[in-house]
Amino acid sequence: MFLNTAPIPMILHTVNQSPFDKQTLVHCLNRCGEDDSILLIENGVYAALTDGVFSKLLSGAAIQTVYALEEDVLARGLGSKILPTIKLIDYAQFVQLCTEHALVQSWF
Amino acid sequence: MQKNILFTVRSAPYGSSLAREALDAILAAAVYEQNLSVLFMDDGVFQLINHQQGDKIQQKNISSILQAFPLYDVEPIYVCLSSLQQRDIRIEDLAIDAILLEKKQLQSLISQQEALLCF
Repeated sequence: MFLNTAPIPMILHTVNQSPFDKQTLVHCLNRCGEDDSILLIENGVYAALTDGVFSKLLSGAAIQTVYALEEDVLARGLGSKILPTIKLIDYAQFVQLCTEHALVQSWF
Repeated sequence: MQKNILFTVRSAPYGSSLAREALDAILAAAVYEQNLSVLFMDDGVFQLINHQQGDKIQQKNISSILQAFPLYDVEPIYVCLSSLQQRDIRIEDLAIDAILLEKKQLQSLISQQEALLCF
């Protein structure tokens, strides 16, 4: 029914729940495409803990980039505990990231 | 110019106000005559189950609000097939007519949108 053959546009997925508490991140990863990126915000940044159980899930995911919002990381005292493969960005870069993606999908 | 706007609804009904807020937002948006479509996925598919009796917990029936969608020109309504299957919900259990989508079709639908409103 959908004959769209244009390349699927990049989606920026924002996840704001801790994966230790909610399945939100898992649901998001189930729907992500290869061209998509994920931005962890608010309690979502807890997924980015270096030795946390979700670090493998994130580093193994077949997606473009995983970002985390620096302000939320620092607020929670996690500055030195974040996976090195995760790109920390600030609010201004968050805005820019949104403009660079075709769509933003918000997971909460 | 009309924009393609997709509402993604992931919240189960009655346990929080999100489900109701999603439907209210959809009906309000319908006034602006854009290309609206709605996708129910994950726990959002629970909103579609037939024979709901919201009045038992003093709440307005969610499925009744859904049945008003065609009156507001909100169609088609899409549903994620795998979300239904995971929850053992069959077509005959649904309160409305909806188009069932598999993963690739879902991705195709989303790729045609200019904005996503997530509930």
